[in-house]
Amino acid sequence: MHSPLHQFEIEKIFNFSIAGVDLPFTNSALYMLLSVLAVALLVFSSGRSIEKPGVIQVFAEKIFGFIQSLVEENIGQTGQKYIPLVFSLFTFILFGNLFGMIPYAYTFTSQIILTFALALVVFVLITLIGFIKHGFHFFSYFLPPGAPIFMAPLLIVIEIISFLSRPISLSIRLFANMMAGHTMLKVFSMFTISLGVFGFSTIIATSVLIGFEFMIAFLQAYVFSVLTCLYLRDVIELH
Amino acid sequence: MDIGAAKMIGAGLAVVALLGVGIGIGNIFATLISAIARNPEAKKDVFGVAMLGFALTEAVALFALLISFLILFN
Amino acid sequence: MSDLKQRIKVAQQKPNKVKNDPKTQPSFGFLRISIDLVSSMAVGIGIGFFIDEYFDTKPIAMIVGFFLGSISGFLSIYRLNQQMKKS
Repeated sequence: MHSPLHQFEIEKIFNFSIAGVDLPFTNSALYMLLSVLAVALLVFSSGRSIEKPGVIQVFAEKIFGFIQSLVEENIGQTGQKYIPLVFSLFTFILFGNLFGMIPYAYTFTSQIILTFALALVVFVLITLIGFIKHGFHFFSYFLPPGAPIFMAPLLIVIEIISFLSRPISLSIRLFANMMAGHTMLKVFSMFTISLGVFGFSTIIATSVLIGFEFMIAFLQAYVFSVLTCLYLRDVIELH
Repeated sequence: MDIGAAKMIGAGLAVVALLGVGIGIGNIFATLISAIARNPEAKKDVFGVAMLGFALTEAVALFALLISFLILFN
Repeated sequence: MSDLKQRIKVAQQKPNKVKNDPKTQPSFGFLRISIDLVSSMAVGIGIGFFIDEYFDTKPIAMIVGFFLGSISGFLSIYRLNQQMKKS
């Protein structure tokens, strides 16, 4: 029997190299490609027809409306232009999590390097937006308003630490939730065999946990996009 | 003893802290339920404090996990 | 089609409905709070560790970084609690 962590191993599907650099097409890349294709399908099917919208179109527009209300609640009316960013982040993570729930499929959000790359995109973006919008005035972000001036060096260091901890907390949250959930599912389903006659009890527990995992899959994508919105609002408004 | 085996035993021992975390989280939610049952109007106030306590208790679990990862992959 | 255009024009002229103040959204604070605490502490310790490696002052910067990181973690919890109280 495989170990519960076997599902996170990356396997090469076929080898591929450009100018001596090894770039194999792995199962992780396959599911990322599938997820991107699903997002592209959503984007191209939205806004097709007004009179007779298809199933996929209604689904895509529902997600779009959800993201739009999320952005408007968290950033405000000025946040309209960040809707595409939040939409693509949300749908990419959501489809990654949901494709991972298919048996024998690979969950690419359970790799910390991928979630860290996504969080780093958000981090670099909020820093750039802060500099573009406010110039060097952006550095006043690190000094909370109304703070006594003799406390300033300490507070600036603390604020910088809390700013730098954002991509790490974003990435670790998504990675840890997905990895812990999938390992837990595997461990519970292994109990089914080892318990013998009493295995039906773990089958019931596993089916409840699968529903729970679907909730987690949605919730983590939601939390990732909500936090992206909150960080964007922080640098747009500067206190 | 082999150093690798000792590392694995140490990492396993580090996550024993989850025992206390489990008891703590159960305690928090039991108290939350009984508080809401006694006074349903206080739900809004109590819920925030309970979530704060839940998060702080969960942080202990994350610390234990961090220590065990440090032991394993150091 | 022209009917639709007229309806779009009417909808655009309507003032945008006022959303509630964004500062007071709770937004699943309890899901982020524990990892915020741990990660800011880890960042503080990490910065201290690299300063130690660079300037060869072995435990001092790491200990200072630990305290600063934990202060920043608890500060973020405090802020979230203030936000939750407001809403």
